[in-house]
Amino acid sequence: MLRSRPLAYLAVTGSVTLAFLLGLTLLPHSRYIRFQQTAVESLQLLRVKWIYQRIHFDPTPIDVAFIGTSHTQSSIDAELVEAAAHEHGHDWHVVNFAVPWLGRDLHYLIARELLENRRVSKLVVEVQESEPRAPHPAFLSLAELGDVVATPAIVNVNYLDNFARLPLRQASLFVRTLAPSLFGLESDFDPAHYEGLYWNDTYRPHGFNEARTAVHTAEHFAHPVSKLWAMFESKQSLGRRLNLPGLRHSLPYRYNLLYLERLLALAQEKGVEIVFYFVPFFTGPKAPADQAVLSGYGPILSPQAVLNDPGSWQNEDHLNVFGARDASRWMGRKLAEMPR
Amino acid sequence: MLFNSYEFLLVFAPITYIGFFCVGRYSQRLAALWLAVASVVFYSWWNPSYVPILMSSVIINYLMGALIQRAPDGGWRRLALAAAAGGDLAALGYFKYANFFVTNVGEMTGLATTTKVIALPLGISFFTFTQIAYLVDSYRGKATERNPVLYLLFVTYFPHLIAGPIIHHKDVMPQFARRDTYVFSPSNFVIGMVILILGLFKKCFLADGIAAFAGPMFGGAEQGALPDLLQAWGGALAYTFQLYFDFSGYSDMAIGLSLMINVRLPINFNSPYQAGSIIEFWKRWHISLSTFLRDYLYIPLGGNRCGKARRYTNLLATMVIGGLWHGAAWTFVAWGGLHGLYLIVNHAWRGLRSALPVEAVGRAERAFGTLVTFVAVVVAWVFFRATTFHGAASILAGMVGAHGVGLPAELVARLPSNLADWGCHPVENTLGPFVLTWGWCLSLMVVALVLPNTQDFVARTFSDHNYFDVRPHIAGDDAWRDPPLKWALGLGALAALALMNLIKPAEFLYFNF
Repeated sequence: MLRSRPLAYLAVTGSVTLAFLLGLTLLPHSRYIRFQQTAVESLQLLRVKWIYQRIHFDPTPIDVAFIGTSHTQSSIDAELVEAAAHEHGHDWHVVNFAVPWLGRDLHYLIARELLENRRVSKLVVEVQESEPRAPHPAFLSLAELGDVVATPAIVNVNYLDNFARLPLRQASLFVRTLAPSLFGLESDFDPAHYEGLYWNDTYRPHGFNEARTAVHTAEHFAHPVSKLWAMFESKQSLGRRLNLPGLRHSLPYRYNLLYLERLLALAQEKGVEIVFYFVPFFTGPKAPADQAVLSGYGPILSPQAVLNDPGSWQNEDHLNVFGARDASRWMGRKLAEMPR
Repeated sequence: MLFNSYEFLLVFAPITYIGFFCVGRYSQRLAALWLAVASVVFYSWWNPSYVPILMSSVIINYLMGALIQRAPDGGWRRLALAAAAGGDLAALGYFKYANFFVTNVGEMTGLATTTKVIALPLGISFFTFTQIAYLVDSYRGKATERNPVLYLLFVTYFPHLIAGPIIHHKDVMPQFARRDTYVFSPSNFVIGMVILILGLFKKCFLADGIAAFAGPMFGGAEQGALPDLLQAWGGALAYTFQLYFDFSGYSDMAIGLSLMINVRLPINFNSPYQAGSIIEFWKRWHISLSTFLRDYLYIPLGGNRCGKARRYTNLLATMVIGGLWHGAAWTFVAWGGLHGLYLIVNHAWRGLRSALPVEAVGRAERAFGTLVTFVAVVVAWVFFRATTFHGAASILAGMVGAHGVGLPAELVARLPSNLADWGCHPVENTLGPFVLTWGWCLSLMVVALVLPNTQDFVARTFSDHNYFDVRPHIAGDDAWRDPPLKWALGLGALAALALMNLIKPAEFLYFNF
């Protein structure tokens, strides 16, 4: 009995630790604070605060919404899409809700935020040459508690890591919700800090990690073709090393497909028309690897003439401002021409 | 591998401990070998390329120690010691100071010098000093280790390998000779775990929490920013507490992890910011290093045996070398020199005071001494943390108000309007950083200056035994005192707050030294 006393004491301490961690995990917070905090943590995710504001605080309709990565962020100017559609008789309000990195879990969260709060006609979902393996790095920052718990465990390489991070995230958001001004956050929407209807990043170099005041001129993006080819070769070389035979069919690769399917199912459930915007890398394939599956949900649009022109690219993955201008107009026209 | 990481706490430590006690049931030697191998794995986790350096150092020092122990008294013995310690210092000098030396010679002579950046092997300052102490103790006949496995374990023992405490063979290795060290002791294990939790909390929650308020001020000053009075003090105090809780947290973790396998390590911190004088501060701060410097540098230099002038010179030299031990930069020399001067002034004052017809130290005098000591230590930390004298000078100028006194505009609006007469000016959008910086600083000031330290807390709460006494006797299960349940709740909460922060493990500041 005497020998077991210290261990019993340790067991009590351990139980309290677990209970305390659970308590921290269940602390409530404001969802607006969560989106703001994500924007604060990474310049590349600066847009998510605006995305929340556009969905929740700006009553202007959202008819067409783009969901995607930096490929869409660099290549779609929502105003130009609107203007092109307008020429074809559609007075649509278009938003570009793309954020850097390909991770369908985050796309699902943004699409859900949008579709559960606004009526949308068309959801344009970016697709690249294939779905990636890794989850989106910002998934934990934006996800609801239930999303983290309910994420498919076996195929999610971040599952345990996300769980370990939850108590700190929840505690941190709880404190920020109590005293947002101490951390430079807003408890309520302030129109003075709202970007407006559009957040156009096509004039910003890829990376999006400079201050937004550092907008570059069109000339900045004019690359010699040789440089573009060198970038492309480097990417190809990396791709050959990563895409080993059979790897694409391994279990973790299912993760992004699962979330893509969730996203598409949600859109269908809400009666939203789904369109895919295919923007692969420079000289990439002409159709996505999962074309057969995607075609069942909606048409796959790709501005091939723009993509085939080396002058449209700022690097091996992203269109430059010239390419964005052409792709946006093309996209607006194509969307407008689609049968209702 | 960091103590404050999941791979250490959930994988390395359980495997190592279970293996140690299981193997220890059958063979002490094999258990010691297991622990030594685990320690080398622990070390190699960062960068395996440093392992050959560590192992070479261990082998050479083991052989030189054996040579010293067997050499006859006299010249040869002394020569062997000089060669071995000189070799250690040469290796340390090469890895740590070669670039510094070449760059400075180049600047002084105007010669163009090219230097290749030499990577500093992790923990080299600590394992070199540990082994120098062993060599000297061997020379003095206080240490003998014939078993190479035990010697390897002595040097590489993972709780102390990277950042101390600097241990002595005579303190630690007799514990590995005891049979009961290899037998699982619930009370030692749990009290070790309590100390580990306190250390984790200090490091992961307190030190890493306040770190965010020190770095920007120091970084800004290096870049040319002019911190005002409160910014400069806020940043300097934040670093003062970050360093203390970071390093004392690490030391607690080391002591706790070691106690879990029935081996006591010496304490390294004893509420240093509560010291009433600089002399006392150095008896409470990084105790294993200050003891090393006293025993192996200050006293051999002559200590206080050769008159006042020589004593003060020895003090200054010891502290300057102690400063340089922390890093190859003139700012560390300045920090050490400043502390050397502090000690000289303190000794001089002590001599003067004893000649005065005044009663024993009263509370007020003690409090005043604590305040002066604390301020002096904070000022010195500015040189310790700054990477340039320009940055340090800018911060010190800010600390005396040379860059004005800024207050958040939101606060100024609520204060009497004549603040401008006092030189205060409002600064926009700084309320958040201001409140957080000073909230953290004042909270940690209370923890550091008022609350009991780890060893006091453990002694009062868990056991009558002194778990920080390294003399080789092991407390048995009867040492357990059945602490109140409230402490289990409190420790559970502290553990949760520490574990919560494990997902962003930050290296210990002393890993850089």
